[in-house]
Amino acid sequence: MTHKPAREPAKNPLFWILWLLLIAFSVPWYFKPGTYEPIVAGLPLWALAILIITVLYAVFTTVSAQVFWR
Amino acid sequence: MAEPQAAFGIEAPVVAIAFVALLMLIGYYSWKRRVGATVQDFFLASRLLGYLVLGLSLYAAQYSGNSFIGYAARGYRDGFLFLSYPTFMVTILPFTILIAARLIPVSVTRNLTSPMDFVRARFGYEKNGLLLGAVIVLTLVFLVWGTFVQFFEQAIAMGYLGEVVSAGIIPYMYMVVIFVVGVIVFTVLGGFRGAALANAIMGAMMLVGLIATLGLIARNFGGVEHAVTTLATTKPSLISVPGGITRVTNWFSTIFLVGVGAPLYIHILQHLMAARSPAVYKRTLYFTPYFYILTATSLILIGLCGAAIIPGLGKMESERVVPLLVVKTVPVDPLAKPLGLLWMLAVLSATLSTAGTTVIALSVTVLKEIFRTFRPTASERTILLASRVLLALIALLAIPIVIEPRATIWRWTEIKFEGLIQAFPAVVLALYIPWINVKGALSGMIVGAIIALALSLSGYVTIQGLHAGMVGLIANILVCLAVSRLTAKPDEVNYAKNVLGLG
Repeated sequence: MTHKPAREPAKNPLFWILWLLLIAFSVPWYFKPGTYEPIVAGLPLWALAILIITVLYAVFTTVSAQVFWR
Repeated sequence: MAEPQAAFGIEAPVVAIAFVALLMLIGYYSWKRRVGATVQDFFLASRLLGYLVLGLSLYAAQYSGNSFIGYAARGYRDGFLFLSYPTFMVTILPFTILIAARLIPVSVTRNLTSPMDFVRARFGYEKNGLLLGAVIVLTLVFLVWGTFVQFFEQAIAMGYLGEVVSAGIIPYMYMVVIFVVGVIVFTVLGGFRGAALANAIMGAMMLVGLIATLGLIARNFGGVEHAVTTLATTKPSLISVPGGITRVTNWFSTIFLVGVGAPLYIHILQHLMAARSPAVYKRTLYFTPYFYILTATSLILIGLCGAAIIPGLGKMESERVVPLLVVKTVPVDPLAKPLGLLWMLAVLSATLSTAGTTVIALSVTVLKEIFRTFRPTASERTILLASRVLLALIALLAIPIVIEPRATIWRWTEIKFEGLIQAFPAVVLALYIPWINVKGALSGMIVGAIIALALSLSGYVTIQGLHAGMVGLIANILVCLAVSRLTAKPDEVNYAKNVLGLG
């Protein structure tokens, strides 16, 4: 009997690439420092962008547990 | 400073005690009837309710009083600069997945139940002898450190909560003592026997309380939009894009510090090892990431609203910002009392679920190692009795540290993880790389710990934004890999491959 998973996240390059990209873009280095405008839906756009990327990151977590890990 | 008048009267302690009593009753019932008493029960229960309860229980273990009080306070001080918070909470999950994917199968085949069992098995090559002992002790020190700080952070959070809610009638110091003694009594009386179900109820309570608090603030002071508009004129730095490479590095450093660190808590590793199968854990990921984001974002927004509504609080003063906000609404809003009490129960839930879990995990893990070394023949009963005594001692040990916290809860969080992550190579890398050997793991941990400690103690809390503990971890990993590469013998590697099921 083997307990080794048939598929695991660490062995999938796509898992690592997506993970690194999501972390990379969850930090606002690509916005102009010191600004808070424009404001969208009550929040500065940059903050909203970070939040949206974090939600995508969460989706990535849910999906990769199902897809990359069997 | 606390408001001059107590916002809540006698109802606050009455509701709190009734709530705790109810939790104990649920715990006792589920233990007695064997309905979801242990985490394993829920891992085994492959029903939707099982996933939900398990997910809420894990959520209650990861979010705690320190987040509800201390992280919101950091939101007050740093505003959107703390938007790393939702990201680092989510980052915990892929790291947990990586650990679980290897640790669960190994635990099943080798019948391991605690992280120390794994370290002992993984480095248990017969010629390791004393080095094995050293690696076990050192790993244990890091894991215990992280888990112990996590415990006493709860006491700090409760101290602030109690002090502000009672308007200083119960001073911080007394509240800390009441809390610690309460946790001991609660645990020894068996309050955590049916912990999984009780934890899940607390998790649900936390979500409800959080939404109640945001609603309360929005009703009385205008919502987030209002706070952002106010801060644009009063303190734009809180809502502006952070500038400078140091800030950016620090943001990344924080994500990895917590993401790597939080899965290494003893109680979290034990949860995973108890799983026996990854299937149920995987399903909890249907909803836990979104709970994490919702909670983290709400706490930052509460802190940010605080910065607009009660500006000018000093660093340590700001630790009390959430209770101060809630208390401020009580005289003007008839809904404030019930919603405020809900919020109080949420913090109590967050604090108690974490405090209980951590203190039990600590006492059992440490004792198991002590008995295994010095009295391997001791009976279960003796171990159980001794674990209660040790539990009380550990909890009491927290009091002198907590009485004068010296640092903000957030700073304690950083210090906690900076120590905890040094166990990463021995626990996580060793799961993946069979040629990591005892010499590599040991020398890596020693070098990492010395660097982290030396930098922190000499005032270099961060280097170019990178946490001292992260600098230590990088050195730790490099040394671990280099030394292992140079010293690993084929026999040793084969042994490790066999343990890991890679043979």
